[in-house]
Amino acid sequence: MGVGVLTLPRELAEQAGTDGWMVIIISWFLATMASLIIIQIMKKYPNGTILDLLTHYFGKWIGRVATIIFALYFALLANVIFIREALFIQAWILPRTEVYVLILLLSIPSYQIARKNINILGRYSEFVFFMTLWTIIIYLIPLKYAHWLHLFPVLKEGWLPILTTVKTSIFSFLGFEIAFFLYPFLQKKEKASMGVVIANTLSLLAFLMVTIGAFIFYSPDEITIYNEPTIEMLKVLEFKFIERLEIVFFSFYLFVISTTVLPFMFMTVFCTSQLVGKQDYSKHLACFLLIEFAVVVLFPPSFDENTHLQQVIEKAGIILAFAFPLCLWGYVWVHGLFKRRAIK
Amino acid sequence: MKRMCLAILLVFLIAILSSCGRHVPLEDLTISLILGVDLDDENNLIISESSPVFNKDAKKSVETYQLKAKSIRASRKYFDALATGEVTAAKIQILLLGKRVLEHEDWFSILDTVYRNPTFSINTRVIVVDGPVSDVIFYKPADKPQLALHLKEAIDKNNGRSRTVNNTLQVLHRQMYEKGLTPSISEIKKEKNLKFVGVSLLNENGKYVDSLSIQDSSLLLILKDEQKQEVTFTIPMKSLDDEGGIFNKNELSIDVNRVKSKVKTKYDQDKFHFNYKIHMTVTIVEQLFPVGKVKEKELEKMIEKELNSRFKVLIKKIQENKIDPIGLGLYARAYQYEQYKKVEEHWGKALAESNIDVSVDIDIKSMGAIK
Amino acid sequence: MLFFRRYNQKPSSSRQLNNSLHQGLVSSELMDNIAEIQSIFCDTPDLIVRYLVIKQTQSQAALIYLNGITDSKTIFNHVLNPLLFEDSKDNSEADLKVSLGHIKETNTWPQIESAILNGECVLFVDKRTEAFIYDTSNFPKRPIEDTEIESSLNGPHVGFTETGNDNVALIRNHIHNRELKIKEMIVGERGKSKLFILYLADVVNPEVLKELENRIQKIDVDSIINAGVLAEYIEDHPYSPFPQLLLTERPDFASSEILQGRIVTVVDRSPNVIIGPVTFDSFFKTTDDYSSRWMVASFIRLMRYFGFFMAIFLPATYIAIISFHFEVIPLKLLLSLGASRERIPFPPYIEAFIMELTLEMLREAGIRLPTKIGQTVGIVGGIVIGQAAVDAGIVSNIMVIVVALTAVASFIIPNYEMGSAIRIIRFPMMILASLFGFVGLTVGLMILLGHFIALESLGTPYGSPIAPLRFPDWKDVFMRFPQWAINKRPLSTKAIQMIKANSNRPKGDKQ
Repeated sequence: MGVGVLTLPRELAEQAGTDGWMVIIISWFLATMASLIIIQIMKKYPNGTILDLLTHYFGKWIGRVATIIFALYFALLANVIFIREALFIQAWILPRTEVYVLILLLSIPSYQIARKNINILGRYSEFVFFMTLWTIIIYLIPLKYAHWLHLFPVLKEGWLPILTTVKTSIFSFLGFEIAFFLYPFLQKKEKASMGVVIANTLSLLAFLMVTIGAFIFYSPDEITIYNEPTIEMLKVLEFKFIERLEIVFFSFYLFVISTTVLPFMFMTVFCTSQLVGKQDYSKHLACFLLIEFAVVVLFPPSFDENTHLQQVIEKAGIILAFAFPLCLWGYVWVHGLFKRRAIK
Repeated sequence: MKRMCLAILLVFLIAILSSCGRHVPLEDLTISLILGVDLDDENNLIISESSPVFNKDAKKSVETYQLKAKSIRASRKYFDALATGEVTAAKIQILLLGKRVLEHEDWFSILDTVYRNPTFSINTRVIVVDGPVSDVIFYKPADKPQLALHLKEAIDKNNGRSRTVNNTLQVLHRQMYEKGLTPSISEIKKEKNLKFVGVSLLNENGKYVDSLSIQDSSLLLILKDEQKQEVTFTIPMKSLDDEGGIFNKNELSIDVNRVKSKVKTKYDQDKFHFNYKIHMTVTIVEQLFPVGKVKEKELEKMIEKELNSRFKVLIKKIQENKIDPIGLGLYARAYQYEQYKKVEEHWGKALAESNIDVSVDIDIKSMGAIK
Repeated sequence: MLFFRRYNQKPSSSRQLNNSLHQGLVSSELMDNIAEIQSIFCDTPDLIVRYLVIKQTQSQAALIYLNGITDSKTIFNHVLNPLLFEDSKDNSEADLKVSLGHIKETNTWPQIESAILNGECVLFVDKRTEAFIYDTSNFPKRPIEDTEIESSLNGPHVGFTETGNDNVALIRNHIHNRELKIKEMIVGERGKSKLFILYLADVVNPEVLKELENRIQKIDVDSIINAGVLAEYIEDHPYSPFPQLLLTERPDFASSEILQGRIVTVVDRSPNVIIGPVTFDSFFKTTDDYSSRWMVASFIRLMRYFGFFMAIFLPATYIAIISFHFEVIPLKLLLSLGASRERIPFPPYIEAFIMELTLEMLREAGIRLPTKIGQTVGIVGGIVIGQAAVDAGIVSNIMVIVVALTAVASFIIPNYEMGSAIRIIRFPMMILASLFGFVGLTVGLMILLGHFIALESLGTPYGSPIAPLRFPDWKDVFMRFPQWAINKRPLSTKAIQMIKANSNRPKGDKQ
């Protein structure tokens, strides 16, 4: 969740027209399935992360390689979202500030929160969730200009565009592969499956609301023109005491984006510190943030580059989050069968 | 301790860096409240803007400029040369379009920067001026608040009373791009005073085709299902024997409380059929003919007949001009998708050939406080 | 270099020069003992040495005490009088007839020294090797009166005094239970402050208690002047603006916190007691909340939290909106704002800083002024200065309103330390807002939040029940649920016994 939702309605509409909302439901289903598979895998090795599991089954070197792959993946993901966040801020709220200043500014709370242990991150996410719940309600207000007719007829072009669009919307559901790493820290492991399903469903509801809202608000002929229809929609809100709510809303939305970025950053330094063998994340985190800053200063980012990078990550994400657990689960299951047979 | 030093260092760094991204406080800005786009006699683009003056020493409270420019964004540098503070467009309340602009087909592209630049407010009300824009933008009546405030409140009030459409830039954009709908914009005219005269109707390319009076605008709003709380009609009872006389003794005013309209879309014999069933609950607020002359049931029938004929006139006008301000294209797309797709590009023509049927059903809820 | 060389004498490694503890014991010769006393207490004019002959045994004796810190009446009536004039026929073991409750015997000099310094009187008897210590201490103290800062409308008008024993007595008044245990500790080399740690033995979490004791034992100072100093030594996060231990002057508040499962530390000579572990919402509670009805109490609680946010964010929001995001303001307000700001030569953040600093100075100066002058200066200063500043064109009137609202909001917070914390946090927020607008505000809120959720008070999470989300505790945070709905102690205290009341729903409500 996070930055993806801002451009989601447009991306869906570009490929699937006003039936894009069904794409979300399909993605949700796939994401939930994948998360449940991950939980099943982790059940075989409850006290370690995926890296320990891989080391246990395949040996030390494969474990190391996997750590590096995961570290790179998370690092890239965090990078994409972080820079995108800064780009959005510059585009919508503070047009005269440089991107690297924004990156520096956002690094301060990121460093402070992500360098402690996972407890703090969890508390932070919990709190932010409840604090930003009201933003969803604000979304209901532009609906008085809604034209539900835009959604009809359903399935006008058939199923094919819907199925091909699934891979675009997967990006917004990514993030559940963190469950690979979080599992050993859970205290009530039996509730893990429930938790994962609820999390995915919440994402589903939020996305659906935003997408359907955008579809009924904008005509299908014009929705592909707006780059970020989600924010544009809020521009029409006008109360007696406050106007141009999208500025306030977006500033609050930074909180939600941060709950996406921070776990990824944490995961990156977790992986890298596993490689080195230490438990102290803060130095790694400081390094990571400095590298980010240097990258932004040396290669000033633009929306195109970022979108390009995002597409690369999407493909990597599909493999790591969907294909990999499936294969791994299959392997572990078969392994378990053999083991039982060997014991007999 | 180390952490604190680092934090302080960072703060200083940011403070130094941020002097690059300067901000301009409120009083040093020239906040445009009205933007005007017009064409002069030689078809040159004229952009005008009006902004309030905050300085107490200045005699006038508003400053207005008008000049030739290539586009709206290009005009900003000329305005900057004239005004005191930095010209900013973040609070533009009204956009005035001269009628000469609408007489050409592809004028909508001038407004590109308004949608592309995120700092523009998209709630700007769009108004067409029947005449040159300079008439309106330089108008400073002594008995009214500032022009921007006055116009904005006037259009909001008129929209609230269902006399004119509410067109913000957002709605205009949607109407321009939507293939099943043609735009309609409020219209004002300056004679001795500024007044709203109704709604201008444009065709799908943006060219002006016709105007509707205030009464007809209410009907259009009912057809669009966008009527707000108060809709009032004054209806002459033509079927009564006597002449009206000086005091218009055969007039009746009704206040429409609730409107329920249903549209049925069909495709038959190579054309679309739209069937409107409108059910109105009305209250009688003014009855100039004596009580007892006409019974309630007859009243209902008379009102129905009158409204039906008015709707017919409106629809004929719409179809003659080959436009669709009502938005029946949306219904066609929703319910008859394949047929609609064939005629999507020339929906106005298709609508002109289709059959629109309106039937009104009136229910008189009450006669008011007196009999 | 010369400057430094002069002060090059290394301070001695131990803090007290004459720290040699006298190793000897009391001798049986009276004169030797008296000589010893006079050598220890030279230059002490309030030392009284009263030679007397005990009537019962006809032996020489000397009574030694420090005048001023002993209760003369007790000495005369209960010590000297029986010793000098009573002579009973039974030759029992108790030959020293002193009608006092607290009597000790000792023969080591350090004990005698500290006893005299504590206000007790010491009796040396010739030919006996023990000295007798009688508790007659009576340090000057003030009567029990209402607290100034934490006054309440409906609650008791009793506040702690500076005597530790009296304070313990006041708490005992509220809790007549044998589980109320008191641990006594002494801290400080020269000050020898007595601390009393009070808790309910079957309710409090033993780990938290142990943590507190460990921390106090590690303290190595000359003296603890008051409870605030002690609190600073045992805090978890001294660099945080938020206080992690609650200081209060009200016995009813302290007792109710003990009943919730918290630990109260009474510091002798300080009218404040320390309550720990606390959570963030404890700083927003007053006794009045529990004396009023629940709807009123909930409303006022909500107002306090609202005031908290307003005090931190209002000036910053003003700066952010005026400098960066004026589009957010509706048109009419914008016109009047523009007109009022137009005359001001300063940018908004300088204006805000000037006003805020002026207000802080006024507030701090107001504490020192006696009431009669204070009121006049307050009114004159506030109104006249504010008005004059607006007229002179230094600040705009909207700024004055903002600053006044902020000040009022920050005074709503019942706890003084939390209020001060808010006043401090306001300034970095203003700086961030003046640099980055709303984004700066959001980042500031993020930093504050990140700091807040990591805070701990004596090892328990500080932000509970908000940061680690504990829904059962929410009954008493933002709104006060009716008393009969709150039956359990809060989860944040980690108490080991949780139920404090059974269902007590009033009969009239039942259907």
